[in-house]
Amino acid sequence: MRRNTFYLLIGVVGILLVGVLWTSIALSMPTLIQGAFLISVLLVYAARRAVPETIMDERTNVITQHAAVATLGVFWIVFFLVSISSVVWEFSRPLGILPPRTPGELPVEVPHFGNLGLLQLGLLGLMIVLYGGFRVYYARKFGDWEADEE
Amino acid sequence: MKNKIRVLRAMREITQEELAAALGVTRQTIIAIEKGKYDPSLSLALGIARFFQIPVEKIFLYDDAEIVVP
Repeated sequence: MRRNTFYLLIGVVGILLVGVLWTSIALSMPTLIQGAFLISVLLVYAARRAVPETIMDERTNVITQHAAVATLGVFWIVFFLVSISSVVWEFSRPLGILPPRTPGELPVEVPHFGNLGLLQLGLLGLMIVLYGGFRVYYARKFGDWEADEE
Repeated sequence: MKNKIRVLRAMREITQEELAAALGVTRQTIIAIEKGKYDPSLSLALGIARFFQIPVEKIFLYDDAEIVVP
């Protein structure tokens, strides 16, 4: 596959994804866009391997690393603020934990917090665990705990 | 960091595309190195030196201003 064909493929996949997103919203089916997105990513990765010309090298990797670090440097603050706010909003509502009912008493419908708060809390936890894990991994990889013989 | 890659290429009549293909990098990377916008890794610098069969220090000129004295 030629390099320009690869870039054309990315464009077509992007347009198709927009269509799938619209369909997914119309059908209220989030799994549709999730599946399509995963397949698209795998397709693009597979297509990139089929390009014989060099399209990724050390300079592009450096660019990617710098862009990723700069993005994360800003984004984690925004993500953390939004997530922690969502956690507060969700946990401020009744938790739905009711006292035991007497026999024959009908269950009372009360609004209770959804799974969003737990999801956001989980995401925050995952973010911290991932960061810690990657810090340890790269520290070991780049010799943070290497002992000298002297 | 300055370098003499453009001169060496011209002397051997090698295009940026040919040099990039020989080194396994993109043409944009060769352009960036020639213009001093990107300093290559040690392995790529050694690869360039091997390609031109010249010691690496004869190709890349380290600017004294870049040296940080501890």
